[in-house]
Amino acid sequence: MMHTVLPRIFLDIWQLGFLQRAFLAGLVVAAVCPAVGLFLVVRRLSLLGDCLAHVSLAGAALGLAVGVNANLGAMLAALGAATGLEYLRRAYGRQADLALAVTMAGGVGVAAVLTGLGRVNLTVVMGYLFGSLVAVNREELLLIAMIGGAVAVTLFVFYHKLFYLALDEEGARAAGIPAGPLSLCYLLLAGAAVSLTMRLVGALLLASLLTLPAACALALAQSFRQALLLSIAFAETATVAGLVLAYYLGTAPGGTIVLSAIGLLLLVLCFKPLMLYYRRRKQEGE
Amino acid sequence: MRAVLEVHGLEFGYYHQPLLRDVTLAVYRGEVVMLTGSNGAGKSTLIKLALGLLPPWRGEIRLFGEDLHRFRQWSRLGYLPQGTNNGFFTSFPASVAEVVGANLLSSGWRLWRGRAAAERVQQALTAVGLEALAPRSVGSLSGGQQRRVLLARALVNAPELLFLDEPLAGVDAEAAHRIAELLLRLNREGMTIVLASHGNGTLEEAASRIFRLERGRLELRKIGHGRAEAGN
Repeated sequence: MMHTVLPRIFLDIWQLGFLQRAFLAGLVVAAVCPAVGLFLVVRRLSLLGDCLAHVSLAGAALGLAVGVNANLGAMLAALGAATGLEYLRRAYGRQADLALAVTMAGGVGVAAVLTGLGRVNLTVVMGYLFGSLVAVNREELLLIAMIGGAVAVTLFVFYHKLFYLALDEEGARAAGIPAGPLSLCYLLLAGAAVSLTMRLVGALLLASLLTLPAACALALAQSFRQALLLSIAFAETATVAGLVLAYYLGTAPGGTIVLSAIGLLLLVLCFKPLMLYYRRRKQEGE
Repeated sequence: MRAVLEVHGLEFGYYHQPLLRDVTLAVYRGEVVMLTGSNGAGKSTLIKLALGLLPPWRGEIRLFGEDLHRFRQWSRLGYLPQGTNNGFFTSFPASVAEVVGANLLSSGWRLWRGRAAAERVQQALTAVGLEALAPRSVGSLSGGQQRRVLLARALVNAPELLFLDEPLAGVDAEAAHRIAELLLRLNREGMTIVLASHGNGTLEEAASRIFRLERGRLELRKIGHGRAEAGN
C-alpha cells in the first residue's frame, strides 16, 4: 500500500505549484515560530500569540476594507500591537496580563465592526480565521521567506542576550543588557511570527503553533538550546505530517497540522516517564 | 587612590516613601565592605542602585571613576542577587552551564561559544564545588545549589568588583564555609567585595568595614582587620 501512496504525493509536489508553496511556507514557519514561541513560553507570555493573532485579524480586515494588502495590514497591526503591549505591560506591572486582555478585546472589536460594515469579503476573512495554506501565492511565499529570514537572523544575533533576559531580567540588566529595547525586540519578533503563521493555520489556531512545539520540547529538554532545537524539530514534524495527512484525508491543512502537533505532545508525555527513569539511572551511575 | 564605587548624597524610596536618605559611601580596591541592617532597611536596594537596576531620586553613583549613566564595562562587575526560599529557577529549561555562561556576553554572539567559554564556565563551577553538575537542568537542583550556581555566574567574568546580596542564605554549613573561603581567597587576589548580610562569622571577620543601615542612614559600625588598601 505504502509504495503506491508515497509516490503520489511526491509526484504531486513535483508537479503542482500550490503544493510546493504550501510545503515551503510550512517549513519556513515551522522553523521560525517555535523558536519565538519558546522565548514567549519561558517568559510566561504564552497568551501573547492569541492576542496578536486577534489584532492581526483586525489588521487584515482593515487592509481589505481600505483596499491595501491584507497581509501587510495584518503584519503592521501585529507589530503595532506588540509595541503598544510593551508599554501597557510596563504600565500595569504585575497585572501585565490585563494588557493582553485589553489588546485582544480591541482586536476582535475592530475586526467585528469592519466585517459588519460589509466592506470586507467574508470568505477572505474566513481564510485568515482558519488559515488557507494551499492558497499561498508566490508573493506571499516570498514575504513569508523574507520575514522568516529576518526573524531567524535577529534570533541568532541576539540569542545570548534574549536568553539571559528570559532567564533573569535583573541579572541581565546588571550585566549591561538593555532590557527595555530587547523586551520590545521579543514582542516585535512575536508580531512578525504571528503575521507569518496567520496564513498557515489561521488566527484561531495560531497560538497553538507557537506554543505546542515548545510544550513538547520542554517535556524532554535539559537545556535551553536543546529545547530550542527540539521545538523546531517537533514543529517541522507536525507540519509535514499535518500536510501529508491533510492531502490524503482531504482535511483542512491548518487544523490537521495543529492536531498532529497535539498527537506529538501526547506521544512525548507518554514517553517522558521512561526517559526520566533512564536519566535518573544514568545520574545514579555517575 | 580612586574608589571603585562612590555613592554620594543618594536618596531613594518606594511608593513615595523614602528609604535611603543622603547615603554616602566610597569603596576602595581590595576592600570587603559589609552592609548590615534589619529586613527592609535598604541593603539590597543600595546594591541595586549601585548597579543601576533602580533609578535614584537624588544623588550620584560612580563605578571605577565613571558616572553610572556612562559606565559600560559591565564585565568588571559581578552580582549575586538575593534568593528566594523556593529557589531562583523553578521551571526554567536551562542547564547549569547555560546559566553560568549567560554572563559571558563579551564572548560573542555565536550560538556555540567554543572551548574557551566552556572552560571559564567549568572553572567558575569548580570554584563553587558544582563542576559535576554542569549538564544538569538547573531546575532540578536544590535552592542552596542554585544559589551556588548564581555565585558561579557572578564569578565567571573574574570581576574586579563583586556585589553579593545575602550570599550564604539557604546554603548548608559545609558549602557556606567553602564559599566564605573562596570569597576570602578572591579578595586576597585583589577582588573588591560589597556584600549585604545579616552577619556571618567568617565574612564579618574579614570585612574591612561594616556599615549598618538604620532609618535610611548608613552608619559605620566597625573597621575590621580586612585587607583594605585605603579607607574613607
